[in-house]
Amino acid sequence: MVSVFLWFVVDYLYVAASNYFTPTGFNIEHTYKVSIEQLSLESAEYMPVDNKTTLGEDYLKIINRIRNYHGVEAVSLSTYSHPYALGNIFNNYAHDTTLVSLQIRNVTPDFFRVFRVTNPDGNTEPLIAGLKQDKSIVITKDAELKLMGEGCSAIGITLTKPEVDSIGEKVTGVSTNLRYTEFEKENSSVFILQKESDIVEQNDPGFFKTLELCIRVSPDADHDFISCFRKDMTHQLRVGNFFMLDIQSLQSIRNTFFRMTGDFNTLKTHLAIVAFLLVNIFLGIIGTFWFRTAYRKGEMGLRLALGSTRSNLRGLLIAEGLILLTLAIIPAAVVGFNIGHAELVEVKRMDFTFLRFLIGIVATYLLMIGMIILGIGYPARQAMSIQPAEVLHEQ
Amino acid sequence: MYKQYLNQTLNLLKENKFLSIISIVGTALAICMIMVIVIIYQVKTANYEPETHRDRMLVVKWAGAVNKEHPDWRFNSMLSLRVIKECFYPLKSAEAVTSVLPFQQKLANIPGGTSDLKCDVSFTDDAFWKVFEFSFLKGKPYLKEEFESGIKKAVITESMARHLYGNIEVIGKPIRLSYADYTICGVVKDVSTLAEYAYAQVWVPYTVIKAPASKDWSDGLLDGYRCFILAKSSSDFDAIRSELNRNVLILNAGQKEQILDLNGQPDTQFVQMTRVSANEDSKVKETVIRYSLVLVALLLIPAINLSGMTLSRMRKRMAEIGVRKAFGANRKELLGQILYENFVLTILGGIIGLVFSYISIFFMRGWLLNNPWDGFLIGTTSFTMEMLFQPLVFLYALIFCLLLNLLSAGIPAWKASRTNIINALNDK
Repeated sequence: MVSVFLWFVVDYLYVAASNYFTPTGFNIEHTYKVSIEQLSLESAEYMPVDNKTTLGEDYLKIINRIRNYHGVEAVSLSTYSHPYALGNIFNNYAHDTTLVSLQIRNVTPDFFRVFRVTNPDGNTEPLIAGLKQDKSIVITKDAELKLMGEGCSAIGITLTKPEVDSIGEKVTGVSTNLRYTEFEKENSSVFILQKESDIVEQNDPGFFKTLELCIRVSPDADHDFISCFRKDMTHQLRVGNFFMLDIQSLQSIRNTFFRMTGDFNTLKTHLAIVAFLLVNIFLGIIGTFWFRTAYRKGEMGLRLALGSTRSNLRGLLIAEGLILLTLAIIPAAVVGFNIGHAELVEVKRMDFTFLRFLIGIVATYLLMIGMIILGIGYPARQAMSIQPAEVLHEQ
Repeated sequence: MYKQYLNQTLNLLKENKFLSIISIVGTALAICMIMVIVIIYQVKTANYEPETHRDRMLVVKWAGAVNKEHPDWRFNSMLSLRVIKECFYPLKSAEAVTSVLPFQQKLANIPGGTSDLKCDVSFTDDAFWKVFEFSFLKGKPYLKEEFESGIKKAVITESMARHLYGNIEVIGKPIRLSYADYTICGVVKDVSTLAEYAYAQVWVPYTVIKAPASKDWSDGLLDGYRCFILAKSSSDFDAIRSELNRNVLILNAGQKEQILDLNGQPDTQFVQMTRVSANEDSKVKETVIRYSLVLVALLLIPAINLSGMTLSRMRKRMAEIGVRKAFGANRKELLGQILYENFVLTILGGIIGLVFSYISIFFMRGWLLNNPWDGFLIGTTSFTMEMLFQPLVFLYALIFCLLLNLLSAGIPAWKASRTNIINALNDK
């Protein structure tokens, strides 16, 4: 029972850890998100929309000022696309008869630079060049696999959105897999070009509410960047009805995101359960073996008298414990495998394979062995420290 | 006699230090984990400043609008002001009713200053200051007349005042929220995000808002407001609920397309805790069952393991028990003695466990007291003594120690006290 439970938790930890260490496909070091907001009617500085400049022109002014700020390497605009974003859009794309649901990432080409998204060879520039072409899209590696099957390149094919319109878009680049977060399986995405020049004519306040402005800063300039940026730019970014509400590092957005999803918290809870179980297994073992060895004092004394060394005795006791454990783990493994097979474990993040099962059960077995050695060690030492003559006398 | 038992126990403890330590640690771990759960529950439901009336307050966190013709078409969000004015403010059975548009992020600064920062602003009415009791360091809240006239006054927290002006002598000075100017009329102590509903950094009257927070797509039913109803005592809850239901019926009778559905709300503090998001029902039953199971597991698993050790200890002392029996100690006395001795161990473990539970809550609050939305708030999850050191916590700790003691020593003690004298004397 305990073994099954322990295996269940260990399996969860293994899935989480192995996911965590798989590349996410993006890099958020030295990246920041600048939140640009619009004034509300309460403000005395609010200007009605029918102004001399369009909202888009004001917004572009802001982008250019940020682009010229010291240390800024790239500035990107996007909607529901940056890592750890709180929303997402999906749409079905078709190639011939294959229909695939892809996450839509509406981005300006610099998005690839900001988040270091690359093609499988590790280069960013081909993706940028590809996306800049007319009516073109960039898809992720796993989307290519789903559309074309193993080993075929998707570059050059045309995809349509049969449910929306019949305009075809040419695939001009394939990027590595992107994952939503460190704990998720990869999700197939398509990048669609958001031209900065199209923004100029925009005059709908709602459009700018969902726009994300992300920047990459050169490592040398990334010291105390937030407060410097705030100090220097608050005034400069006050254009028309726009103002800068906040600048956050993607790292802190990531923390917020994980606080919301509770991924790390669930992980900690599972770790706590493992610790609790191990301590209790240890307590249980030490209790029973103390009792058992005390009961078998006579036998131990006899063995000592007949020439066993003390370490022989300890080995004997531990071996007995291990045999008991092995006997217990076999039914546990059977139950565990069936639980896994019925997909009662976490399968959204990793498929249940025999390898995964094996790793989980071996890890459980090793943990239990550790506890048994620790738990038997003390009673065994106690039992061995007595004089053989004394014990035999008791008999 | 008990003093003698105590001495004896302590000596026994010293005799086998290693095992005593292990059983104390085992107890401490179990009590620590149990008490962490208990303290979290306390922090989330007990009364403390500024949420001093949680026990007689009802909460409407979410609201739903259901299409009249298609009952399965449903929007979930929060209340609109119109609904609050028609259904909640007129409640006669309540002591006070307040509504809040919570946590709007604004840029705070002072005209001409450079110390900009993002802050959480709650838009409230004047009754807010009655339902929640803040301690004002300077000034006072906005009054009914000021609220009704839509005056641009703001109450801010101490740390906000210090950030903007360097001190708290700020009454009458300006504060600019996203480029709209307000006058500071009060300074209150900082509020922890644990006081979920009272929390903000700046509070202003919602009458200053000129445009609705969002476009109306719900027949005037939904917007971003929450409502809190303060009852004279918790026994009035039923009266308030039925009066509110009548008001909602009247409102819905006049609705054209969609009708309001409060989904069982208003909730008490405990019930609202289990109603996490707008589209979920409250999960009182599930929560109670889950926590009971966890508590039982946390008590039983260590108890079984500890009882193994108690049993071993008893074995060792069989001879002693035999002698005591031979000299006329009855079963009850022996049982009492063993339980008492074990209780000394449990209490030692319990005290250590309680201390550790406070330590772990303090250092791991981001994990243990996480509210999914806290990450979006600017305030911190701070603690006050009032929140953590409630007398009930210690009572619960004692009860759980007793339970654990009974579970871990009950069977061995019962067994030992029933052994035949001769067997006991022979140490078999």
